[in-house]
Amino acid sequence: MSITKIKIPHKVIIRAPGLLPMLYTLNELASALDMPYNTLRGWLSAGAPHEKDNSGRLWINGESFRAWVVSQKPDKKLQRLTEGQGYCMHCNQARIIESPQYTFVNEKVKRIKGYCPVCKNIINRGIRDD
Amino acid sequence: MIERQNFLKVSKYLLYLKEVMQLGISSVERYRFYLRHLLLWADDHDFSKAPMIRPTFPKYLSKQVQKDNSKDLAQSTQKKNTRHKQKIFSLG
Repeated sequence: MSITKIKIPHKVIIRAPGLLPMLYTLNELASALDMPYNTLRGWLSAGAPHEKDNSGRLWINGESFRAWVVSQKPDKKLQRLTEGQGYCMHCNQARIIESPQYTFVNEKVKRIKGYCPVCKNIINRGIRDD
Repeated sequence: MIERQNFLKVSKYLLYLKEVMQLGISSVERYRFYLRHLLLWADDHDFSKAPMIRPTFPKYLSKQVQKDNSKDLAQSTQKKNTRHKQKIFSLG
């Protein structure tokens, strides 16, 4: 079974470190994170840490929720473009620029305009010419 | 683990600031941040047992540092924190 990561909104990533080490109700957590109640319920069913007491009430520990938010952050893959490559916004991939044309934006910055070899759309890339 | 009743008292106080004292949202949010120190200081002790807690609140505040660990909290921040603590205790 694969574990899917949830896309956490930026404001939650910012606010989650401010959660206190205590048990929150769903409503309190919703107001602390400024998120709709139903979204939080969805996260709980998707694996966010919580506990249920004898009366069936849901409690969320601020610290463990904070750790869960951190674990949901997407892994950053830093991919540098090599020379002659550009990023095609249509294919969402790095491609070698076809028939590149160079223009100087200013003394140091050059703009390369060309075409994607796969989808034939325009690719632009700016490079610094130090 | 923070005492839940303390958290509820602080929430009630913030609501009082907003509704009765007519403070703006940004001010209330600022005070919410200030009062974190009070909650963390009291930890699992109820506010009614605050006189027994050691170190005392002003001493605890003097040991706190800013977010970037560069400096202690400003004197004015410490003063405001203490004033809010007194108000919460007086409101019960």
